[in-house]
Amino acid sequence: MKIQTKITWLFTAITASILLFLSGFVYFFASRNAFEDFYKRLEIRAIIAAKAKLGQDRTHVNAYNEIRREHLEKLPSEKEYFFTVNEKAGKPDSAHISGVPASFFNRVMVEKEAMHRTKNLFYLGVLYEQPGSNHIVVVSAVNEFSREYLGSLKNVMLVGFLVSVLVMLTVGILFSRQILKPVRSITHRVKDISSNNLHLRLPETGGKDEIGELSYTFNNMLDRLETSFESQNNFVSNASHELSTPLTAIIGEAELALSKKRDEQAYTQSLRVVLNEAERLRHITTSLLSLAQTGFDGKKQQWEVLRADELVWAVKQSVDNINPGNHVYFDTSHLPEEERKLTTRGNMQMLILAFSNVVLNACKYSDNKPVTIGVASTDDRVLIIVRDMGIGIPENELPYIFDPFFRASNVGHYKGYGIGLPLSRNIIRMHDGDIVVKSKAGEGCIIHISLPIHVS
Amino acid sequence: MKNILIPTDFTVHSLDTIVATVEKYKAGQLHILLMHGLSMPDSITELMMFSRNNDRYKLITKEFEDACKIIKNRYASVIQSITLRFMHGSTRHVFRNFLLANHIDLIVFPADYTLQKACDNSVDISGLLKYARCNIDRVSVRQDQGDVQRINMADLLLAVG
Repeated sequence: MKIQTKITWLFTAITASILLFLSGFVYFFASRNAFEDFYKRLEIRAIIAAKAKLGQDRTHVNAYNEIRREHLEKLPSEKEYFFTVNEKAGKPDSAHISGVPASFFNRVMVEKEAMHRTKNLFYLGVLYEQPGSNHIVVVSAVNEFSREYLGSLKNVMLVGFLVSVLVMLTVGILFSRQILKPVRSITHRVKDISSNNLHLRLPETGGKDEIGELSYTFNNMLDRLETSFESQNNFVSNASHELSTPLTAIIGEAELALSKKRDEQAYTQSLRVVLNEAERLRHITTSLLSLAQTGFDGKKQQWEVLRADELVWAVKQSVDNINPGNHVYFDTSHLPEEERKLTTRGNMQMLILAFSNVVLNACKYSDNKPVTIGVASTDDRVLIIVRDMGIGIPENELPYIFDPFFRASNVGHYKGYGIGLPLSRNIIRMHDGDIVVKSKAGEGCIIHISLPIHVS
Repeated sequence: MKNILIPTDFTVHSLDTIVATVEKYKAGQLHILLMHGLSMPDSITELMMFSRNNDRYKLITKEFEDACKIIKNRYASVIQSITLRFMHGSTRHVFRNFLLANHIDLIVFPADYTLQKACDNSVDISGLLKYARCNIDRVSVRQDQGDVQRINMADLLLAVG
């Protein structure tokens, strides 16, 4: 069932049940009131009838008879019954009216007054006490007025209920349609968005309501989808371009060497170029391979508990091996006193790879100017900060630096393939870490890497 | 054991002040109380909603909090606690009461840095200092910022994006 239909039915059911309850309430009290009123009238008649018939003072009897004749109109099918109470038995000898149970008379004896009703015929009995003899006086009559009154009330309520249910159903349909209108428009709009037009966005109302939040979330997701789609597309073209460049160089060099007979020195020169380019090709493919491997989950590697400062020393050593001319400093002044706050869990080799990539980049793009590494820890993260004084990254290019093959516009003559940083980020992410780069073109870079502290 | 009050404006200079203070007094255990003064609101509606209004906590950024934790971890054996309290009001009595209530032994104030207003109703503490009935120490925070071999507080403050 559609939510719109559900809302409509729920709305109608709730309002109809409230209305039904209210109508029942009104009817119940109206009918009770009408009955009570009628019993009061019957009671007066019973007493007057008793006084007129059984009274001992002649003048009073005459007066009562006159009142009855002159002022009391006969009710529809009004009847009077008189029963003498037997003093010894404490009840009338033969009290019987058809349709009235015997318990009625007992109640009259005990409570001095009793009421009984069979459909529209109302009975009221009173015990008329006189010195000498007691009597039970019963008056019965049909309650014509309240029958009509309650009948019409019932009709009005029934018709009113049916009509208002219809009205509620219509209002409910309009109401639910109005409520779900923004959802429908979002669905409609999202249907239009496919992989070909990922740039389309939902119109944002700017409100802080649930629908506004929904479209904001959708747009956010579309942003990320679009970026990842684009980088996916770029990746393939960039990868093939990067791979074909050295290949072209190798083929060109070989063709040139084979085009005619040359002396030994020329061949050596050509082979050296070929070797260089092949070396570059191998470097690219191994980097790509490790990038692809780190893209999977890292459960199969050996994980151990390690210390962040040891990690940094190992990184410094590996950087010294690769680039002996570096100026890498390890600032230990921010280290926490507790050793526990330096430990993290991870794969040492992978983390060294990730960090040395970052540090080597820092050395490379600053022409071996000083690079400082700091380690500090908050209560749940250990932070490793790498600061260089190199060429920096233009601020508008910061969002893309982790895309494979992306290289900033100001790299100039520095050689690279744009695989290092994405690889580092993949490794750090595998360790539940976070990498943030703050930079401005020409002012160097500060890279913050945070890893979770290992809780034993 | 010393209770030290350091007025703060939630910038990196406050962190430098903490470090300078700890370096100077690290012979004993320290309780450090960072304090930021806010003026009392002067409209009746703001006063009525005063206890409900939590805007002041937005002044404390995640980075500042983390940097405080880093300093605390760095001097774990010296610093017993770093807490932050707001002082509401700008009179000398409020200031004296605040010092008394927090058992402050010493106030450390940056000598070569003027505290900034962190928000519109921040109070300038420097004018109140002369009413304090405890020692006041003015420390220098402008250290060797140019040292390439050091990671500065400013670099740390960017941490945890």
